[in-house]
Amino acid sequence: MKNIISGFGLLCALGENIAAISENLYRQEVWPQYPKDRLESSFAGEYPVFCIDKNIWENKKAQESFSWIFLKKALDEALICAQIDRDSLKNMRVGVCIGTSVDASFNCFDFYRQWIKGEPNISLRPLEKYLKYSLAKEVLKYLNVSGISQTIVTACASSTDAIGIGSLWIQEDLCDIVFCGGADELSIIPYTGFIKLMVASKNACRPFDKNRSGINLGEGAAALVLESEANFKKRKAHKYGFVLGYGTACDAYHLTSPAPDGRGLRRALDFAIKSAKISKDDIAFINAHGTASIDNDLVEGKVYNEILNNIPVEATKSLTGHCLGAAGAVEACLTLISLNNSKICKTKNFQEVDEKINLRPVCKDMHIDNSKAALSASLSFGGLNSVLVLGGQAYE
Amino acid sequence: MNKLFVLDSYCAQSYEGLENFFAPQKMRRLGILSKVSLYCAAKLLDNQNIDLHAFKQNIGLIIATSFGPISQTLSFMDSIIFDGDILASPITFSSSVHNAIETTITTSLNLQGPVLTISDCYNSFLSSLATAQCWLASQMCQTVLLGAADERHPICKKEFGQKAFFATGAAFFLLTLSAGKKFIVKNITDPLNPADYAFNLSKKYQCLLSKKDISKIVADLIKTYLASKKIKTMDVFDTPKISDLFLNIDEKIQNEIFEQIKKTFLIDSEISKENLLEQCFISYQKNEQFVFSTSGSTGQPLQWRHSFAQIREEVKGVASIFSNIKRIVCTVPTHHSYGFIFGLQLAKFLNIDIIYQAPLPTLLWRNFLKAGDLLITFPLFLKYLKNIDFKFNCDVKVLTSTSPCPDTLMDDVIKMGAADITDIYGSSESGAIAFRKAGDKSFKLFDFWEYEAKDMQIEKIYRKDTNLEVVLPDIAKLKSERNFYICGRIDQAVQVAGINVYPQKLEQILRGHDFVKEVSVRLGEKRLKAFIVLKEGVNFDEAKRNIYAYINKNLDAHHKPESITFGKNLPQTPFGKKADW
Repeated sequence: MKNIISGFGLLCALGENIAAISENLYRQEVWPQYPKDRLESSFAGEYPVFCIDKNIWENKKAQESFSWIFLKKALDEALICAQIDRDSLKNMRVGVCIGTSVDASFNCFDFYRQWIKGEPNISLRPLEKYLKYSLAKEVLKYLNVSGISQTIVTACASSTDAIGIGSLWIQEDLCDIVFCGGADELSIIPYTGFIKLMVASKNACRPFDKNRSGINLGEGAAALVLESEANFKKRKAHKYGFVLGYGTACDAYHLTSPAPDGRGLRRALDFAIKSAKISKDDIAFINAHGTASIDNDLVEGKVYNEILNNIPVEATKSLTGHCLGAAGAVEACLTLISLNNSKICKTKNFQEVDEKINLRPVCKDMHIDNSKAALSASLSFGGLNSVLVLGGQAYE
Repeated sequence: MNKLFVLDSYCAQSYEGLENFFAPQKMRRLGILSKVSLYCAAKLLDNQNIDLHAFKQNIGLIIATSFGPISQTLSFMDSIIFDGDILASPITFSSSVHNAIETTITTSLNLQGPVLTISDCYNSFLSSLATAQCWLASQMCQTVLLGAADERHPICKKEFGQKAFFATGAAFFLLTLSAGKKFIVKNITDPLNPADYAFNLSKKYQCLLSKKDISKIVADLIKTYLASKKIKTMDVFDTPKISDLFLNIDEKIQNEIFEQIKKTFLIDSEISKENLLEQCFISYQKNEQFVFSTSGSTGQPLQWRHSFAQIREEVKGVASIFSNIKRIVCTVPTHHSYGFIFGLQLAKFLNIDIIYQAPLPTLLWRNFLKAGDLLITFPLFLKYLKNIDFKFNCDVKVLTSTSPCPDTLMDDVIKMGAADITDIYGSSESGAIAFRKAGDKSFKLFDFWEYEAKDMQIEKIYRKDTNLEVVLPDIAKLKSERNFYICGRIDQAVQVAGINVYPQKLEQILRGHDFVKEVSVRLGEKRLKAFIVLKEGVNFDEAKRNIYAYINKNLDAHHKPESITFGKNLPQTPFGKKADW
C-alpha cells in the first residue's frame, strides 16, 4: 500500500489549521477547560475537556451539528491544500470515508427532552434530518459528487479505520481519490458516560504517567485527501505524505477493557507493518493512542516495549483531549506534521515512569529521521485495535 | 463493482434460542438488538460448522446499522433527564455506543480479525459491501461476516406509525470472493426501515443446506446404512462423529456408503473421507438438487431427484397448515424425505430451532417436550408411546408420515393429550401430497398440487409452479373438490417368465386362508416370494402343509411363490413400513 496524501486539514484544541497547529504542537500552551457553556451537566465544574474555539462554531445553524461544522472547516483546508476544485472531481471515482462517534448517534438531546416530556407542537425536523443524515453523505453533497460513502463508528478507532479503509478502496481500485478523516464533538452523552465509567480525569490528563487518572474528552476534525499514484500524476499537485499500511484486529476480550496481553494490538501492528512492506527499523516513532486511562496505557505500553522497543513514543492527547471518533484522524495528521517537521513533541504532563508499564514517552521535543515511517495507533471500546503506517513528504 | 459471493445467510427477529449457545447470565445485560444480532451471527457460524468458542482470526466482522442500539441510547438519555446525570447508568452507556453490537459479537464469538461498524443511515448496508470486498481482496481475512442490524426507532414508531414497520431484526451474510452464490444487491433507500431490505435479502441467500445440515444428513445416511447391514446398529440412537462411524468399517462397505452419498448429493467425482462434507456442500451449491431414496418397502430402493425449488414450494405448503410452532423435534433421519422436508427445511422456513431425538419410546419424552413443539414422527413410534401409556402434558402438535397412520391411532394420540395430529400422505417420489387431521378419514390435497381425475378417482397429480408429475400408487377416490379417500393400493404388475403377475393377487389369496394372520408378497430371485405370519394357536406343520395345498389348488404356475417364509411379525423398516426379507 502506498497512497499519496495530497492534502490535509485539521482542527482541534491545538488550533484552527495545519499552520497554527504545527507551531502549537511544540509550544504546548493549551489546557483543558470546564465546559459550562457547552455542556449542561452537574459534572461540568469537575471534569475538564478540550474545546474548539467558539469563533469556529458561533454561526452554526440550529440543524447543523458541531461535527459537521468542524469537518467542513478541515475539509476546506484539505481541498485548498490539495489544489482541488470540485468540478474536477466529476471525472474521478470519488470515495468518502469518515469516522465519528457522537455525530452518528441520536444526538438530538434537546428535541428528545421535549418529546419525552410530551411538550406540544414539537418540530420533528431534528428527527427527520437524523433519519437521512450521515457525515460521509454530507461530504459527498458538499463536494457535489456521487461515489462510495461510508461513515464508520468503531468508537475511538473510527477515523483511523476511515483512513485505512479509504486507502484500501484506492489500493483495490474502487476509487481514484478518497476524502477521509473524522469529526467529533463534545456531547452530554459520552461526557456523562465516561465520567460514570470512572475513566474521566478531574485534572489535565497525563498519558503513560504513573499518576495518570483518566481521560479528558476533546473535539475536532481532520480531513485527508488520498490519491492513487496514477490520479496524482495527472493532477500534478503537492505531496504531503503517504498512507503506507493499515492493520486492524480485535481482542475479543471485553466490552470496554483492552485484553491485558494486548493480543489485538500486536496483530494490528504486525498486519500494518507487513502491509507497508517495511521493517521495524524503518519506523521513526509511534503516535500512541495514550488516553491516560489506567488500562489502555498499561496494555499499549507493554506491547510497544515488547515488540517495538526503543522506538520513540509520542502521546498527544494531553494537547487535544480524546476526540473520540475524530481522535485517529487528528493524530494521523499530527503524525504527518511531526514527520514533515522532522520533529516529534514532548508528551505534555508526563512526569514519572509507571514501573508497571516501564515506558517513557518522548519527554522533550526530539528530532526524527523524516525519511522513515511512523505509526499512529488507536484502541477502542470493545477491544478493537487499528494502526496506520504513515510516511511524510521525504519518505521514499 | 460488487464481486462478493454469499456462502450462507441467516436472519432473526428474536433471540429465542440464544441460550443454546451462551449462558443466560452472561447475556443478561445486553440490549435486545445486541442479543438478536448475536443469536443471528452465532446461528450462521454454527450452520457453517464453525466452532463458536475457538478464537478466529480469519473472519472479519462488519456491522451495518442505521440507528445502532437506539433503545439503549434513549434509555441512557432518559436516565439523565429523569434521574439526573449523577445517577446515569454506566452499563447502559457502554451498551448504547454504536459499536456495542459489534463488541457483543466479537467477545462472545471470539472473533479476532478485522472488525467494523458502519452507520451511514439507510446507506449502511450497501456501503459496507465495498469494504467487505477490499478486506477479502487484500487478504485481511478469508471470509467476512456482514450483519445488518437495526431496531425500530421508538420515536419513529410513534410519529410515523405504519410507515416504520420494521421491528428489531438482524440479517447476517457470510461473504467470500469466490465460493457461494453471487451477491446481487440493489440500492434501496428506506430511512424508516433501514434493515428491512437486508433482512428479506438474507432469506434468498440462506442455504437450504448448511454445512451443519450436511454433516447431519451424511451422518444419518451412514448410520442408517450401517444399521441395515447389522453394523454399529446402536449408533442409530446416538450422535457419533462421521469419522468415528467409518472406524473399523471394511473398504467394501465404505465404498457402498460413498456411492449412497454420491447419489444423494449428485456428486459425479470420487469422494474421500477427508473432504466428504466439503464435496457434498460444493455439489449441493452447484446442483441445487437433492436425491431421496425409497425404503424399498414396495420393491427395490429407488432414487428420486428433487430440485430445491420443488422442496421450497412443498415446505411453504406444509408450513401453512401449522400455526404457533416454536420448535421442531424430529425423530426421522434427515436423509429421509420426511426428515428432510418436515424437519430440517420446515424449521428453516419457520425460522425456529430443530432438535433431533432418537425414536426411543420412554416416558422421559414427557420432560423433554415443551409447549409449542411440533413432533415429527411416524406411526410405529406413536404406537410404542401408546403402549407405554405415554401422556403429552403440554401443547405439543404431532406430524406423522412415512407410512399410513390408522384412524384409531390418530384418535389415540389425541387421547394421549396431543394438541393436534396431522397425517401426511406422500412418497419419496412426490414428497408431501395431502394431509388429514384426527377425526377425518379423508385427505386434503396440498395447495401446491393440481390433479386430474376420472370417475371420481385421481389419476395423476402435478405441481402448479414447479415441474413434477406423479401417478398415485394408491386408489384415491374424491370425496369433494381436493379431498379424497385412500381405498387401497393400485395393483402393480411384475414380470415372471415374461408374464405379468400381481403380488397383490397372491397376497389377497393367501390372506383368505384360515390360518394366515398377515402376509407380504414381493418379487424374489425369479418368481414371487411370500412371508406369512400365522394366527395364534395354529399348529405350524399342519398350517404349512395346508397352505402349500391351498396354493397348488388356487394359483396358476406364474403366481405360485418360489419360497414361503414364516415368522412372528412381518419384516418392517424402523418406521414401520414393510421391508424385504
